[in-house]
Amino acid sequence: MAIVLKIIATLLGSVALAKTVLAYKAKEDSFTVSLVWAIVWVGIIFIAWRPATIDQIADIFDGRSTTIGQIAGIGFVLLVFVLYRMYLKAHRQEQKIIALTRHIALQGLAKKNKRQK
Amino acid sequence: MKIAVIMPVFNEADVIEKVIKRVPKKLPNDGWVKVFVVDDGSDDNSSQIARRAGATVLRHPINLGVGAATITGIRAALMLGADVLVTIDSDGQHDPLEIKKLVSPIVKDGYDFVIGSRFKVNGQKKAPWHRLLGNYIMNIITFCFYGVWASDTQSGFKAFSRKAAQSMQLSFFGYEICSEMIGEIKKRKLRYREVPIKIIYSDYSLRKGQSPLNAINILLRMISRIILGGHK
Repeated sequence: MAIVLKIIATLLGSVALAKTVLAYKAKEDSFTVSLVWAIVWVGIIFIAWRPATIDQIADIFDGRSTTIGQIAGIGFVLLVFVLYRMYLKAHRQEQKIIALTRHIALQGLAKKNKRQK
Repeated sequence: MKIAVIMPVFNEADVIEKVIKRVPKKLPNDGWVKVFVVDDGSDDNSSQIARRAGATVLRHPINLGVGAATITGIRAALMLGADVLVTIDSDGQHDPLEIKKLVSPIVKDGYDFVIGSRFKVNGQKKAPWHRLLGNYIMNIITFCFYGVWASDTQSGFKAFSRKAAQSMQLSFFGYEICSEMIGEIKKRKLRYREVPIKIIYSDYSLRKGQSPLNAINILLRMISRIILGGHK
C-alpha cells in the first residue's frame, strides 16, 4: 500500500512539475515563482519516498515529531479545502470573462445584421 | 447553401492572408461562402490583414483560447444563417481547397459532422513522430472520456451542419474543445464520418502548433470538468 501512495505522490508531483515548466515556458510565471514551485513539487516527491525527513527536521527544532505530523495533517486538509474554494471562484470568474469577451466580439456583427434585415 | 468557414486566429499575420485567399469563393450551391476570422486577442495586425483579405472579423479583446474563439465563430455563423459550418486552422496546416471534401458528405449524404483526418493514408508519412504519438494518445483519452473513436480527434479541420452546431453544447475554451466536439457527436446522436486530408507541415506551422506536452493540460482540464463540474 505504502508503495502505491509513493507512486501516486510521484506521479502527481511530476505532473505538477511539468505544468510548472510549461507555465514558465509560456511566460505565465516568472523564473523565481517557477523555481519556488519546482522546489515544492520536488520536495513533495522526495518526502513521499523519505517521510522520516519531516521528523528529522522537527527533531532539529525541538524533538516533538508527533505534534508536527498532526499539524501537517490538519494543515493539509485545510489547504485542500482552500484550493477547492479558490478553484470554484476562479472558474466562475473565467466563465464571466469569456461570456463578456464573446459579447464584445459579436456586438458589431449583431448590429450590422439587424441593420441589413 | 450558406457555408461559414471559421478560423480562430492568434498572431497569424504572416500567413492569414494566404490562407483566407485560398478559401473557395463559391462552392456548388446558390448561397455564399463567408470566412469568419475570430481574432483571439492577437498582438499583431492579424485582424486588419484578415479584414483586407475579405474576411468577416470578430475580435476578442483578450486571449481566451482556441475553443472560446471557435465557439464565438460558431455563434456568428449561426447568427448570419449558415447552413454548413467549417472550422479550419489559420496557420496554413490545412489546405482550404479541401473544404469541398468536408462539405460534400453533409450536403449530399446527410451527415451531420465530418472530421478531416490527417492520419488516414497520405497524412501518416509526413507527420513528425512526436506529433503522431501525441495525437494517438489524445485519441485514446478522447475515447476513454467520450466513447467515440476517431483517427484524428484533434484535427482543427471539421465541418458540421447547422443542426449539429445548434445542438452541440460546447464550453471548453482551450484545445480540449476538439475532444469535446467528438463527445457531442455521441451525446447528440450525430451522424459522422472521417475524410482524409493533407497535412502541410512547414517550419512555421510546426512552431505554432500544439506541444505534445499540452496533452497533460488537456487531460487535467477534462478531469477537472468531471470532478468539479462545468458551466455550459
